[in-house]
Amino acid sequence: MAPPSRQPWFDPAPELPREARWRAWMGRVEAVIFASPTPVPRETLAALVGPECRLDALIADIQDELRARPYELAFVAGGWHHRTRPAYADAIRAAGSVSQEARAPALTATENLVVTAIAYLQPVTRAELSRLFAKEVSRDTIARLKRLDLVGAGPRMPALGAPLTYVTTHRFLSVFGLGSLRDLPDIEALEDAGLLARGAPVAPQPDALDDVLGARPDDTDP
Amino acid sequence: MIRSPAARSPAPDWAMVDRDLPPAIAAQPGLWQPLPGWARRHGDDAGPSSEAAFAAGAALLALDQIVRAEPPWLGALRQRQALAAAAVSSRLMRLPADEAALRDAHHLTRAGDDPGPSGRLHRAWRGLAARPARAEAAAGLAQALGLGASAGAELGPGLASGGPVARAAASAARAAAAVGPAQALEGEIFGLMLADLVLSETLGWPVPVPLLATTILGPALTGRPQRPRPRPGDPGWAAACQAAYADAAGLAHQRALALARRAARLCALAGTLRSKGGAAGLRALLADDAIAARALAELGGLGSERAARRFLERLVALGAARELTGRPLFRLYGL
Repeated sequence: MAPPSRQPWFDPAPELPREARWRAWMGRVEAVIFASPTPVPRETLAALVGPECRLDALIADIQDELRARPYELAFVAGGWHHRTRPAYADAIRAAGSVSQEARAPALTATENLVVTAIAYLQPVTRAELSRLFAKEVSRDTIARLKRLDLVGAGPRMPALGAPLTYVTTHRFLSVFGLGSLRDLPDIEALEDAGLLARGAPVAPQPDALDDVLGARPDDTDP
Repeated sequence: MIRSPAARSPAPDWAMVDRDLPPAIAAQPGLWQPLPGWARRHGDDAGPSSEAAFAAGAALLALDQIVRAEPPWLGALRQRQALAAAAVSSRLMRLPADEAALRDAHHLTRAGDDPGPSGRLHRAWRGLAARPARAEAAAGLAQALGLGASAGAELGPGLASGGPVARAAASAARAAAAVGPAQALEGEIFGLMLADLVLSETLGWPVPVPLLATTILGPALTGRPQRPRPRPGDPGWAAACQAAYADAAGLAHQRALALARRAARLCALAGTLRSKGGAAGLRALLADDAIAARALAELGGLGSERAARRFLERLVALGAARELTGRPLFRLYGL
């Protein structure tokens, strides 16, 4: 491990030609992201290469280099992370070589549906979810999602009994490979249809939401 | 014409209310005059920059005099501005939350729970309006927006030149540019926060008043359909900031005068209330946008939650405070 340098960032030999310097920066940034078990925020990387380096161009170059590889550099949960491409999910699952903790949690169809609905409608209560699905969403489903740290407790609803609402967590973004909640598929179309407005009649038109849920891409394995 | 309560009753007995509240200011709503018409910006466009700069200067001066006098209700003004700014930033992030929903999320989230995506934005704005206006606050704001603490590390007002508004605009552009394209919207909101922070520091205000975000997306600047909203770093950004600050400071001044009137009414009635711990209740009402009975009871002084609610309902019945939600349960009270 390198000794902590006095300089807050690392300048790999400023006398090197531009090309070599750029390569050194690229290697350094990719190594840090590769070694990290969690997504690395942009600021950590910016501190690593210093103000002279155009970090966005650097990351674009790294992504370009990985174009032929089965993994990519993805922006998830507010940071950069190496992710295998979705096409290889089956192979990884069949090999079974990823440990239980590192794997994305296996969700049942109902759990998938519930966590997705919470992501779109948050903060949302269990009663509202039950109304949306026209079927009771059980406490057990919510409890399992909470245990997996995919959803958390939000503000209480100002209604009789002060029911708890649910919101998605940081880990939800990481597991589903989303950079932020705005990256949810078709969120703009749903908004324009008025399906996500607070107090909107969500129950009468569940079809539009179903379409979106069906179109959701597969989870990628970390 | 409505006579001010201060004129009807003799000066409130401040010894009974609180020794910390300066009576002369709270009891004199006529101390500040509304902005004259010539100090307003006209037209629905950013307009020529000299006119916008002139209007911004005039409105900021008027607001500056209020901020410097530190009236006891300044906390309410700051938090109302923070709420308005949070509502605009939620719209920018396309989160479905209006001011009422943001207020509910803030007051109904228990300690340790997550207020949700728009609630976190509101929390960040409330943090801006509650902490001293120093460059170090930028790191905390960046973290609250999920940008990592170091995003605001090297940003300070010393780096830009020009007038206060020009410096604020330049800081916003620099802050937004320091954030990558993957989080461009968060960066934009961070820029809006930093502009207010830098403006407050330049003007010598102890604590920032959120201004820029409340009007930068307003119809006056983005009214036409084909027109993109002003973004930090665009060629017209400095001019848009001037126009937005002129509008925002004017509106904040208007809001401040309304709050001054209501605070005077509340303080005039305070002498007639004999609730134990009423002074603490008044101070809490003057210091925040809204307060729930439970939170007031937790502050201490008034006793149980029930006693706090009775105290607040009494103020509402007397017309000295308002109930802000209009629902029978989970009521929130404010000026």
